[in-house]
Amino acid sequence: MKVGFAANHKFWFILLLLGILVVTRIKLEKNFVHPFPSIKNLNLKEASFLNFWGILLGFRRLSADLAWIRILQYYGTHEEEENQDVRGEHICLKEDGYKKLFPLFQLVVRLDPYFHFAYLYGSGILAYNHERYNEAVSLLEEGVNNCPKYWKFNFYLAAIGYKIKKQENKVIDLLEKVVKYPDCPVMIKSVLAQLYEKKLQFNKAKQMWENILRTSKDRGYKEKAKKHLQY
Amino acid sequence: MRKLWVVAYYTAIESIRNKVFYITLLFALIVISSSIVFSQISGEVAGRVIVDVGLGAIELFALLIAIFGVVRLIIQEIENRTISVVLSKPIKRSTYLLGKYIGMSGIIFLNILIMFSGLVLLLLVKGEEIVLNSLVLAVSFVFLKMLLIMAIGLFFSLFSTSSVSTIAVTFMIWVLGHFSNEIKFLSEGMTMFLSKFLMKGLYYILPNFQYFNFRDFLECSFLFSGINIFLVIVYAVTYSAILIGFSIFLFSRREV
Amino acid sequence: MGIIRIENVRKIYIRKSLWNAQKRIALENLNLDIEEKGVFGLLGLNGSGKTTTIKLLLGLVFPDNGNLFIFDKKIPNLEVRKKIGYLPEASYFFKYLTAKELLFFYAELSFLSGKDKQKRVDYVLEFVGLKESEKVRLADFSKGMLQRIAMAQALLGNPDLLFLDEPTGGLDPVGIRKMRELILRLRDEGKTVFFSSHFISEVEKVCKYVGILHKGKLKKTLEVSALNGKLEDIFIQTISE
Repeated sequence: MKVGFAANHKFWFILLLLGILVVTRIKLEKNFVHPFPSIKNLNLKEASFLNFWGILLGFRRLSADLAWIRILQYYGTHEEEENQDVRGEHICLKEDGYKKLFPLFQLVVRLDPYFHFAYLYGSGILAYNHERYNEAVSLLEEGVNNCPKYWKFNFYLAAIGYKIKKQENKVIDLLEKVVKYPDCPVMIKSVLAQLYEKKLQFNKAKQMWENILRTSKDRGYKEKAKKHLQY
Repeated sequence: MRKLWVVAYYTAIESIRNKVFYITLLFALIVISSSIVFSQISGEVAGRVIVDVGLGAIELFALLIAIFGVVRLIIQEIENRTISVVLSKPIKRSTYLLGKYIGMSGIIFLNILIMFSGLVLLLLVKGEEIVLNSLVLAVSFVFLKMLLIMAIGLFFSLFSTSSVSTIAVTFMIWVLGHFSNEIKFLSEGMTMFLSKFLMKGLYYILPNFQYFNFRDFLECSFLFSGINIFLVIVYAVTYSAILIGFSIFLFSRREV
Repeated sequence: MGIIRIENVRKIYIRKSLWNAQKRIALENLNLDIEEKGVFGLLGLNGSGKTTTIKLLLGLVFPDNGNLFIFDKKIPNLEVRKKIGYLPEASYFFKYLTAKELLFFYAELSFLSGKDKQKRVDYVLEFVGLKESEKVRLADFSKGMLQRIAMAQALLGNPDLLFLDEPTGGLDPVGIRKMRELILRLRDEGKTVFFSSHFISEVEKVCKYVGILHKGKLKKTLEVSALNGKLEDIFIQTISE
């Protein structure tokens, strides 16, 4: 026990390990780019206390999920179903006209910038249900910035562009491209089906509704599809 | 060498027979199953929510078992005086300490394995898509995190005399370790040389748990390179080994 | 061959709190030389340093000054520990293991392997009379059974030297008698037993030599047979000096 620590081969072993650790840490600093921006630059308007802790403790995805659930509660997918007229036009019932939708979607994608589905669904709701094109476009642009490799955002952007110009045939062309992918929100599929109906292409509309009935897990949209198929 | 495994084996048996082990595991499985409730109200991203809640629960419960277990590992044995008989046997203190650490790691591994199987089973039952590669990667890095936090807890447990303070300090380091990128951003905004220097120092010295946080990076496939994974493993192993080395040194001077 | 040699050992316990450090001298200038096999008793009041002496010899605590030797080897020494057994003052064991598992664990640590291990574990279980309780978890053991399992583990490595810290503490009269017989039996097998006690009559009955420890100092070393049963008087006289 009295033998000095330094006089011992263990000392050199620890020193060697320390060396390896320092080198690894420096390498990691260069190689391992932390994929999330700092809280300071997030500009979270609607963030809750829980979201804040989620970021600090490394639960970004879970935080984004919670914020996502909050949107669904706020927007109420199933209640939406009852508030639609036959043609599927959405009727605003919330007193605030769903003003918080955009900041809430912003919160979700800022908590987890890689949550592709949130961009797609959010921009779809904003653009097709509420005609708030600026917000929809800025949400998608944030997606393009955060996930440059996720090319599908561009189709959605272009579709909104044509929607603004009221060139509905072009919108249909673009949406037909995106609905082929499994990560396409059912909401977009339902938009496409309704566009078909508007254009009196009932056969294609029927196929789309059947597709929704087959693939979607969202009960609200399934009900909607059933209703449209009966009609 | 044989003694190392003997100590590890009996440490594991001791832990497994403790009722707390089953209760924690049961509770963890309940929480993982509760992700179904969340998935019911999350529309089309149900699969993602189950994965996130599940992996989060796995990490938190593993952390609980790791921190409380590692503090118990040596300190409680000194307090219970079970250690004096063991150390009167022809076994080196370093072997004993290392064996205990390995045994505890085995328990954590078993725990994570059971919880992870539960999660995969749940995904299968719900018919959600399973990207096994990234899930296994994420959960393996949770285990790596635990190895490191256990080494930290062990080190502090030999420093201090009370279990409560050790648990508090270890948990604080876990939080700070996840906070490390914020510390970096904070330091970059600083103008005072001294405070900037201190912050930078803290950033480099603290274990950076974000490196292991693949649970949060499931969609960030650009991070999943071989070299990154290798570096993170080396980082965890050397960091833990150094702390265990210091722990052995402290333990060799500890009077029991 | 020397069995136990203690040279000028001093041991100070320091209890640190946030504001101050309290020093307590546990042993001062302790010298002891045991060269002959047999039973050696360390007699002293509570807190006189008996347990500290045994812990120092086992390498569980470290001296602030001086050296300790067992079988002429300086402590701490791994080889020496193969040849010694230790019965702690109070028996605490891993409560989730069964008696047999506990002994297997210690047997592995004591370099016993394979057949030897099995045989030796069975032997000591038989020896202390716990054969029928070998599958009971230690959490369900009574105090007397714990004391016996403690004795069993001390004997496991077939040691040449046994340290027994207060072996009769907490035992009933029958237990005390059994312990006494055990110590004498070990002596007859040619082992050395070093035990501490504050029961003068016990020491008198089994020891060949006795050391009187008081306030951290070894006051006297005596041969019991030369005292004619006056150990008690001498002890009282010594500690009141």
